[in-house]
Amino acid sequence: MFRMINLLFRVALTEWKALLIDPAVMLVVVFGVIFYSFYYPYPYKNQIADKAPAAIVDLDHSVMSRQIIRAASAMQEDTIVAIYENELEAQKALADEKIYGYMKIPEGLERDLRNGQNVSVGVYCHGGFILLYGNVATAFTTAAMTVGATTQVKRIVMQGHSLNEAMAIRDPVPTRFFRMFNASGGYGIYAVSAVLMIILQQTLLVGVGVMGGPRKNRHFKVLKGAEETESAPLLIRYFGRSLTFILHYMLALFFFKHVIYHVFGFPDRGDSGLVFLFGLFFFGATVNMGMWMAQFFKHRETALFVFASVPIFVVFASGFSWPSGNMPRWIQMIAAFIPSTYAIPAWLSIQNLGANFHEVAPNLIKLFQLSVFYLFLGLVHAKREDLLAPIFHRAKRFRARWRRKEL
Amino acid sequence: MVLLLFVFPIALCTMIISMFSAEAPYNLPVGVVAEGGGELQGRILRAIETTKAATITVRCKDISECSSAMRSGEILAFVYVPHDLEEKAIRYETPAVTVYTNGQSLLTSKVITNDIRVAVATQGAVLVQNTIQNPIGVEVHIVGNPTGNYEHFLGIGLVIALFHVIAMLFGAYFFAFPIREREVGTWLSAAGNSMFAAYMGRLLPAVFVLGTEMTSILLLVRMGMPALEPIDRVVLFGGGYLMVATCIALGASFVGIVGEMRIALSAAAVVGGPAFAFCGQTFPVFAMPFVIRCWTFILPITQMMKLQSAFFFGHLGIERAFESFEVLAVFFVFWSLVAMLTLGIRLPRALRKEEAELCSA
Repeated sequence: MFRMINLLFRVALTEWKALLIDPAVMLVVVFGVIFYSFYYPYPYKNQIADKAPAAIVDLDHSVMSRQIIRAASAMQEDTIVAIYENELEAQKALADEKIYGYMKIPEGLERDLRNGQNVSVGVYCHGGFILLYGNVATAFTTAAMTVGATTQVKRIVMQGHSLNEAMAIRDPVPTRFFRMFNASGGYGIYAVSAVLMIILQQTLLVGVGVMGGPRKNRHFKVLKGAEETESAPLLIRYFGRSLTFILHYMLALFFFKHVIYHVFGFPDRGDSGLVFLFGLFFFGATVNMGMWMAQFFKHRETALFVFASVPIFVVFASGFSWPSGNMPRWIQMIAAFIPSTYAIPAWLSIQNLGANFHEVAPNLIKLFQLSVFYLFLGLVHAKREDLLAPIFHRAKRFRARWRRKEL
Repeated sequence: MVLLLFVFPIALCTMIISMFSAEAPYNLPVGVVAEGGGELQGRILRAIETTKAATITVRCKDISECSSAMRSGEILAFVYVPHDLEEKAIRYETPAVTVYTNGQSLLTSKVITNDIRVAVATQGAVLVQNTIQNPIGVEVHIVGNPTGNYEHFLGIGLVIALFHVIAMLFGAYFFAFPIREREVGTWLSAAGNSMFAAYMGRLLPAVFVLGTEMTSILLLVRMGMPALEPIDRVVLFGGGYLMVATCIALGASFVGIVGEMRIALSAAAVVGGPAFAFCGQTFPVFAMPFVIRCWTFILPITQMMKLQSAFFFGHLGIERAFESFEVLAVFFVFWSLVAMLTLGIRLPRALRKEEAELCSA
């Protein structure tokens, strides 16, 4: 028993040494993780896209239109960079991305309002920018409605109400909004926290794949002299190598929690014990998935292009941005087999929202189930490979000899 | 190779486009903390229930219960309706309905906020029988995407981002393949030992396949958007081919520089992988730090995004689209020269190694 445990730790140590020496793996699981963790959040350092350039097309040139312009200029979300005389100029500026939206104040606005009529202003936003469209539209709408509210209150007073009553009648049940856990609506907090988990998952899968998963007797230069650990029994080999990756990535997870989150000012509400438990389940599922998939790759580099091509799909499939419930059923089914689908919501709940064990248990259980599922597939496949390896090896030698003869 | 050239681009694009097929989020789970009762409260809750965005799935005893449900991901927002709402409203005390949204999910937060605001305001106006509306109405138009369809917002960008990374990886894989398989001699002799012919012979078929895939998918996703004139199509789809070509040339340059498939693929993954985050479609470039803005400019994806977003305005965007087209063309020429130059140094070395191996065998 002691010998087995000793061998298990030696397998783990050999694997760790190998992944730190092999440039292709080291570049991904050490350099890649550190580099990405600074590189990805940096564009969002400012968190909020305030003061988006915007414009106004003033066709009324009245006191009231100037009031609207002043109100729009005072908004946090936009900066009025131009006031145009005709709409075509504004359209051109929008198409050229000199501005991201404009408001058109129609001719006769003040006159119509004084005559007791209602008027409508148009807000035009660039359809290609999700975040800015919302910001610019909100700023212009608030500005126009604020100016309109004064006239509305006056009209209600004229019906015989007091000023206080009129103000209450204008909006008798106001709605207050609180954005919990990310009060400023910081984009970095929203996007980066989720993407950090994708960085861990994908680099881990690449690492396991490039290292060949649980394969026996790998012929890597960096593994010269490690024959004993390379030919260790399957279970020792499998769990020893898995242990390496789990421990290595556990360090990365705590590096994110204690360094990256603080450097970029993300909320650190996670309980360390729970984060550890999360890491165990998340990396367990991911390593087992990698161990299974690695056995299909004939060449080590296949793992690189397979796992580097899919992150865009994987991150959106987790539902962190677009709700999972609104995705087609078949996409949900594919996503159900990816660890990040459960890991991202679990991580956000623990670390950003401060959830306790009870609140994240459903996602942790799913990760555990996924881990067991991939462990089973990985072990069965590895056993089969172990049995077939000598036959393949003989065939390969025979082919090489045949080729030499041909030459 | 088949995986990178056909399976991944088509399968992943299909999945990404299907993901947003609902066009806008709907039936998002919302909780309610309703103190007391009353007719107005009932009407407000019914109004929330009938909104497109929200559906009430949890009724909590207090705010902490709903907060817990939000932390566990059960709900994305909750509404707190205070007791005596109706009495206070009739007495003009303006009692507020409070909506708590999960700021960790910006998109759903925005959608829920908009719908609930309208639902509550409508019921309030009915209660006090206010017939005088705000005299200034606002009509919001999203140019090029009138229905606020997220397939157009995100789908197009993600398709481009996908081809950006796949083309870069493919470039690295395809140009390193002869080195790994010891086929440099065969490749160069087929090209008459001309570096230009050897480079173009590999580049052009790959550009044709990946470029055609990308432009076909873009054509599909752009359905329902402003119609394009023939010259616009040439610029848009030509730009697509140019972006693919530039990315493949970049991948080839990595091979030329490092001379090894694994490291070239790693470099392509590092540059191409997170490019979507830098291209400015989700978070605008003007709000990024200066260094990142410079980096963003030299990524082919940024230019392609600018090019395609110019056509949200139909023909009006042609001038700016041309600018991006020209930048892409310059990038392509530059990276092709780098690739040919570096491969020109790297390949003869690989060839000598191959010949030495053959001799020793």
